[in-house]
Amino acid sequence: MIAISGTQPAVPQRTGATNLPAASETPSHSNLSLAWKIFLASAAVIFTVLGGTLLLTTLSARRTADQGVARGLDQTRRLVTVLLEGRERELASGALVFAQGPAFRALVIDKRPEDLLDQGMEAVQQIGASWVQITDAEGVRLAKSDEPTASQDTLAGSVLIGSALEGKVAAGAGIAGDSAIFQAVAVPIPGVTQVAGVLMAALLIDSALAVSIKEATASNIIFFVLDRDGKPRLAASTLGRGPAIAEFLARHEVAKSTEPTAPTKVLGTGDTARSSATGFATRSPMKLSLGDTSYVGNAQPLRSAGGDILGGVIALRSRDLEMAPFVEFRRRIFIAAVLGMALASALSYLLAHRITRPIITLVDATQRVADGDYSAEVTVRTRDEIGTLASAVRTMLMALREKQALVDFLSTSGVATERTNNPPTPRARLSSATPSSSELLPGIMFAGRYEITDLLGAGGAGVVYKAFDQELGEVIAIKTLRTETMSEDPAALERLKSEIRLARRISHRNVVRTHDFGEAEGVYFLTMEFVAGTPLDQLIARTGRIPVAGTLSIATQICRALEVAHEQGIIHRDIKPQNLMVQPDGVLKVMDFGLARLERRTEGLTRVGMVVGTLAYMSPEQLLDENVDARADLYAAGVVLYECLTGRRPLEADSPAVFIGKLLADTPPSPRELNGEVPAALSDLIMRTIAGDRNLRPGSAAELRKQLTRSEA
Amino acid sequence: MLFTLTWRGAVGTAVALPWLFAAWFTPSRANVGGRITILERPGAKTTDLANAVVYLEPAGLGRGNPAPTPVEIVMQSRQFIPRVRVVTAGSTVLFPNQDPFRHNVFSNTGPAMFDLGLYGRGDSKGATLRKAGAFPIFCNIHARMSAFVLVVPTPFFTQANADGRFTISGVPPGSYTLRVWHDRGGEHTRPLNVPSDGVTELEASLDARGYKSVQHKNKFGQPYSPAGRDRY
Repeated sequence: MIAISGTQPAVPQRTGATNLPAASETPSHSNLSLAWKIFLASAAVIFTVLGGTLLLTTLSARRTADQGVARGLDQTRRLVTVLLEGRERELASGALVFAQGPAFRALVIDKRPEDLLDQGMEAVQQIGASWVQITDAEGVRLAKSDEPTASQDTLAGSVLIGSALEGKVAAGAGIAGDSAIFQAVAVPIPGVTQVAGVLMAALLIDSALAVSIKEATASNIIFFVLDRDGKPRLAASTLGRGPAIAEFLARHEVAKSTEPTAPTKVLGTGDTARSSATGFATRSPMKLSLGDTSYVGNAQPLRSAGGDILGGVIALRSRDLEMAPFVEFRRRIFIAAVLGMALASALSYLLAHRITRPIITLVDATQRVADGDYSAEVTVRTRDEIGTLASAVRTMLMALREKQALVDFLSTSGVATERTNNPPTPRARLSSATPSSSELLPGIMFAGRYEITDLLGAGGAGVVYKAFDQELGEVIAIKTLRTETMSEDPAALERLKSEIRLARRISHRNVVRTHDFGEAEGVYFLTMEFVAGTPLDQLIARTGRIPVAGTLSIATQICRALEVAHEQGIIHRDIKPQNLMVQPDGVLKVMDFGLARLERRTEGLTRVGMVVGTLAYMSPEQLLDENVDARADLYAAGVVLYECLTGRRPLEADSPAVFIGKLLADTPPSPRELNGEVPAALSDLIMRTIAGDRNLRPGSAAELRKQLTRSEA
Repeated sequence: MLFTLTWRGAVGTAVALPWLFAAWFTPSRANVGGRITILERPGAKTTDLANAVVYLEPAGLGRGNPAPTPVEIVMQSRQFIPRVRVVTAGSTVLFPNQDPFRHNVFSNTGPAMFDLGLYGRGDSKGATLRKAGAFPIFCNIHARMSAFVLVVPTPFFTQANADGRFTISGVPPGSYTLRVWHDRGGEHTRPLNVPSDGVTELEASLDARGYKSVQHKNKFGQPYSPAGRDRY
């Protein structure tokens, strides 16, 4: 029972404060690790799931946002194209109408600058242009609405005016100053027979246009012009005129290449120069960072009537803005996840602790048991498997403690050193007993295989010897039926056979094992397991009484033995200290099922009125030869326990008659009255067990054992 | 207070006496005054009450040819100033050009048809209007320029002030037809008996709620913008 390990000295009942932490340290380490294992595992699962979810949703949202940006930019590009074309068309149609006014045409033919300046202003109002200019049939400027003093330059060289002089309506972008870009149309002014001049109307591309595009598309817009070196310069923007914009434009320098193939842009001729705007090369997706926002953009060119790229429009969209609803969504998911994770962590931590704490207690307790310390308290009170385990450990600990107490008691009382087997009835006493012819002497070879080595004692119906089984090379005990008993009682043989049949059914560490039955030289005998121990009666006689813990161990072991026997339907009928052998290691063995009967009485084996067994341990019903059941054994066990605790039997009498009188009349004092150390619950239990009315006793050996455990706790 | 009344009464008497004396010997003349209001669409305010013309046509006898009243309508900043003039029949209206470019004043309306041709800054041309009526005047070059000359067959006429108040003085007592004209509000006509002490606080209301501006044609009877830009 005491495990001796190499590193830890097996010191039972260690009280050293230095050892206890050591004993509890290892479990507390495993405590953390087990709890942390559960916690970390659940946390890892949560992290993985949430992290994976966030990652996947982020990736897909980013892709969606990118697609959204691209789509938005494309839509913006198309809308800008449509919008600019629309403005151009409106401008052209307004100019055409104005140019056909007869009064206007007459004034153009008159070529009076003041009238034409007036007409220019009139045209600005009617067409809704930013400014207009009027040339004569040679392309010489006659008036410019916003510049009364404009000189009479020849403008015929420009594709725009030149086309109009040829009678076509031309349109295209133009640059004014160094950073203003406008849309322009030029229409011929019909003369009498030929073109009388050109009316050119310009519409500035300004921030208001950029803002209206932004309102329609949610894209930010930058209009730029290319200066003479081909460097973009900001013309109008929805993002202000900050240095970041200038820097951004400088980064995206666009070669001011004249495409020689680009045809003159003529309105309403299905010209494709404009729609090939996508050819405007931006080497990579344009990127602009403004403050916290980063934009992605694309550009399309603005071309002059001659096809030159004069500038362009850049649409910018922010992926951040596109992502904003998702980012908000993700933020909420994240918060929820963090909260959930915290909650789950706390729960898993608690759970881990809840699961592991009792395990730790048990581990601690068993660890201490392994170290020989049975004093651990198991306080786990759950109803699950761990609770069951805990209660098993608790019971085990209790049994260990009790048995340890018994062992301690035995070792201190000096009994343990004796090598007694069966009731070591003094030889003198045996000798003084009725001499029998069947008595065997040590040294005899019996039944051809058993060498009798010692007389161990006389049982209820026979004599017990220690013998050496030469066949099996094993020490055994042999019990013989006394010849005279056999002759006196013809049923004795039958009873013996019955005994062995029954006894052989029982195999338990607390029951002396019965081996065989035989007859030799006219002697019937029974072989059984040899037990090196002390009969309980001798133990009591020597020490007066047995400590409570030792008694409890004895009680528990008797109960176990009886449980097994009763389960087989075997009632001992003769439980008494002489039949209870206590080994030095504290193991108790119930022996001598010699009077055992099947619960169902076998008629003819027991004579009417015959009372067998020792009187004091017999239950009243057995004395009255009533139908005896398992509770008779319990009664006897109760008397044994009573005797263990108090050193005396419940009722003492000199003669059977007096005894029976007392049994029927007296109530014995409780063990507690005789021994203050006996716990009240135990005392009560014993008194109940030896109750005359068997219905008041515990219902079974198992029940008694359970109550014993409870009385102790 | 009593003293004040008495004093004022005395002064009033002193002022009135010579006037009464004069009235006794000369045909009496009375004042006709009042106020013109124009009903507008909800939310609109009347800002052109000064364009309202009020005149009295004597009933039955007494119609004669009143003396001509020469007036000017200046052309400045592509506008006719003032926009409305009232003259007696036979009067000449002068149109001086104060703009740095040429204008071409014309009228296409029946009895008052005239075309003054193109003329530049500093020049002034006139048109004599012989028949009574309301005649729109335009510039052939500037489509938005328009004015009205109201030719009336009576010397008793006036134009309201910006508040819509008017007074026609020197009206002999008698029966008249009161006519109120406004370029947007149309015409209001009612018989009016003018007593010797005149009429004050006349209330005349015109309705401009149904007015709709229509682009006029040029002097050739064509739209100013030949392609006819649709307006919606």
